[in-house]
Amino acid sequence: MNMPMNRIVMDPTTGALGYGIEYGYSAMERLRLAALQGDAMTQLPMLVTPGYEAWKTKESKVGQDVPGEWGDWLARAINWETLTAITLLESGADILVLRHPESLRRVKAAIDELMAVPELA
Amino acid sequence: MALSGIVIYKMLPKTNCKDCGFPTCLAFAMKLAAKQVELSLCPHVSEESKASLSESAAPPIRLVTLSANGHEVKAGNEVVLFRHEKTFYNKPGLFVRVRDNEPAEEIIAKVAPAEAYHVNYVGIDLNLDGFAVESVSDDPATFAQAVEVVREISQRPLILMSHNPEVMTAGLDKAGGKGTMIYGANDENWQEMAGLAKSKGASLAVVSGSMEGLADLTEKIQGQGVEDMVMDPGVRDLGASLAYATQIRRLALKKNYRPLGFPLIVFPGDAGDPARESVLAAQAIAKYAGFIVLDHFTPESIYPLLVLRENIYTDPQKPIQVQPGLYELNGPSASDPLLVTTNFSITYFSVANEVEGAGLPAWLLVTDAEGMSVLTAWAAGKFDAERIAKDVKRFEVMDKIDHRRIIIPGHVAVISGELEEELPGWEIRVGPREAVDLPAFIKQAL
Repeated sequence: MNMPMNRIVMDPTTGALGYGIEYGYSAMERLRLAALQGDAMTQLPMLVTPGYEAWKTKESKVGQDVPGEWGDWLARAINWETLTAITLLESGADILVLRHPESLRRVKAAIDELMAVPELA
Repeated sequence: MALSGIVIYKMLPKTNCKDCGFPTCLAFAMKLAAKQVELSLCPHVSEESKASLSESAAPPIRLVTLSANGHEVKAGNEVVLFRHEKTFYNKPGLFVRVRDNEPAEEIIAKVAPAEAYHVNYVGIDLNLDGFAVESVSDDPATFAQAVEVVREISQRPLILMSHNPEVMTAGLDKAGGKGTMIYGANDENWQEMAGLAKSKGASLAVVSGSMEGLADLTEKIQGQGVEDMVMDPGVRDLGASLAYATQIRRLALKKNYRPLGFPLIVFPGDAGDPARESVLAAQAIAKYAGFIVLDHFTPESIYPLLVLRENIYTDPQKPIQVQPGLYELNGPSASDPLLVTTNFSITYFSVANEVEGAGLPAWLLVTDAEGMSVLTAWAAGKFDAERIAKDVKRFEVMDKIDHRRIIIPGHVAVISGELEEELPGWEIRVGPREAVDLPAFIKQAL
């Protein structure tokens, strides 16, 4: 269709933490490895939507009549989105679409830390 | 990295004497490569060959077990860099740290809820693994006291933290030696710490700021007869943690580099800020940590980490399943809707989540589809009209509901005709394809 490769991104459609994240996580690791080994079709940036996925979960949406072990509702919900995002970041996400500003702050800080390449001793 | 048959063959006598019970040395070598026989079957192998062969037979990353009073947590024995290559085997231990300069009430206030905490996730009971007690006082009596306070509340494995052998000895006396972890040995104290580890049967954490330093220490300590070690490369930020954890795992697996073939212990708690601690802990879970020591314990921060640990360490070839059966959502009455789906955990929880979250009462029949999702199970012939009808009978659904209407997942609309035949007199309704559309469907279409 003559769409230039540098205008295409991939969305591996990942699930949230606890709702299938590991399927997307492993698909992304495999895509990334294939890309680094020269498979041109997988060398497209990966876009993930932890905001959409995490806020769909019961852990994020529901605050009443949930187990006490789930703790504080807002903090839990933000943790759910943040940790979904951080995990996908580790598997190679290039673009992350988030919802809560606090998740955004935490994930941005994490990205800054990850981008500082250390000297290995 | 396992040796190939050819490489092993080169280390055998190559006489084809048959004393091992195999016709040729090559045949024996192949069996050894497949780990189907013991090297001891060959009476003629040289001492040198014996040493190198037993070295390579040992797992690339040492299995270290912390134990106490029937509780166990293990790390190590990993064989892949990426879970999709096979699986990750031993979930990292999650520990909560207290310090001996905190008053006893504070220690109790922290340890008691963490000790009691457990949470259900897809039918699995998740909890923490133990506690770390760190000596800030550098005083043996104070440290021993703190360990005692913890032991009064928790019988779980302990990680004792001090660089002072005297303080460590006092702590070990209260904690018990076997199954405890001593943190840690460094360039100054390794001999004494190794001695303690050996005499008490404890495992030993080795601390150094470089991989070379770690390798040097583990070799020295191994020379003292201590094998159960974990390593702390001393890094505490996200970038360096990832780099060291990856490089160490890579060296252990790809190069069979023994001096770094030990699990890692990490300290997200050193981040100070609970939000950053969570992020570091999540990375540690995904990226090769063996033991993870947290400083903050709250249900809302620990629950997602426990779930993440389950997710990453799930065997990709064995999907998690829920028990087949008839589940009640929001306390349904006999006239409330009946839904059916498969017993793949995520499928079950997607459906249950949506219906429960919307507050709608319903019955959910979960069939045995060997842990496969709806479409996967249907394609494999494990979710069809016959099986659904069978489970309707098996779980005595007709005793619970006063109607005869069942809602099937939209993706298997094609079986509705067959299901009419298997359940004569029943009304078969085709529901939505996606769980997220269930509440609207139940409210508007029934």
